[in-house]
Amino acid sequence: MAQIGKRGFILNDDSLIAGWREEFAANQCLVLHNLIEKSLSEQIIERLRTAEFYSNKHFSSEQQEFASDLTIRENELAVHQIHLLLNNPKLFTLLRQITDCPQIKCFSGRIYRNLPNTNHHLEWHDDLEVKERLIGISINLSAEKYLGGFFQIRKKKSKEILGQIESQNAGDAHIFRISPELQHRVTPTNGLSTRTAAAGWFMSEPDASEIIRSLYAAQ
Amino acid sequence: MSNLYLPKAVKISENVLFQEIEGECVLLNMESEQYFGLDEVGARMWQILAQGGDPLKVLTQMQLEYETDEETLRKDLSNLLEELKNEDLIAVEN
Repeated sequence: MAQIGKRGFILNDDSLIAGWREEFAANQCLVLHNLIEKSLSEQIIERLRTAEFYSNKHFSSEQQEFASDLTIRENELAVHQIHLLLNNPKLFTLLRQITDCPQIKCFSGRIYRNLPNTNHHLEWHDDLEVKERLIGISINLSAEKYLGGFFQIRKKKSKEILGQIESQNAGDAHIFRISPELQHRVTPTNGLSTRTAAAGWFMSEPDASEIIRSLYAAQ
Repeated sequence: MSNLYLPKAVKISENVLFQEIEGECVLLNMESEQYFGLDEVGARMWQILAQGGDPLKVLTQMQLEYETDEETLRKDLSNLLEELKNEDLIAVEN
């Protein structure tokens, strides 16, 4: 198990890495169960109950809208928690071992919500608006199990689906490759429950110290 | 707390997140939503404290790692613990 908790990052069994590498190479994505330790994810989810979100639309480099959601205000504590937790050099090392990506220097991301049975959507896209993005991650921070909201990744040219990840438990994460040859999406949420996720990218620049110091300075 | 007094044991608060960056340490009190920064020496003291909460062990280890006399280290550690306690980042057992 690989896990981030209040006392840092733990990988309790190195032998898991080989299997993760194989799975990631085949599917270009991988689930890391319980990446965020349970009591910590519960604390974050509890904070999110009263956090402020705003309606947001996202556009590709060609100015096509590909997503609509509720995005959390950047000054909410949960954003700070996620950035502090994921800007961890040991986590960067593990991700490089799994994915063979270039050197990771930082994590940057956001928290968002997809309400069920609304116009919230996340269509096929490649996340290449920022060239420093290497590996994407999504961490489930939903208060309840939700329906729909499947992650899918495919080859851009052939449209062949390489991997699909369905609803996970709170604190579970999945990582996926960012590449000009790939696209990914999340299917709409339906049923009665809201889907909430921390999503972002492990990047080649800037340095994590810049990200952490900017959080500190924003206090 | 006097400058040379060290508590018997220290417990790191459940409401603290921390991250080491380039030898320094950033602590976030999730309750007060306040950050607290530690320089390289403070970060190393925090690391050893996080392993068992024994201030005397911190003192002993720091003496091995740093070329500083015990009195100076004891004073620095005592001051640090006082600050961390005031920020509700630790609880002390006297």
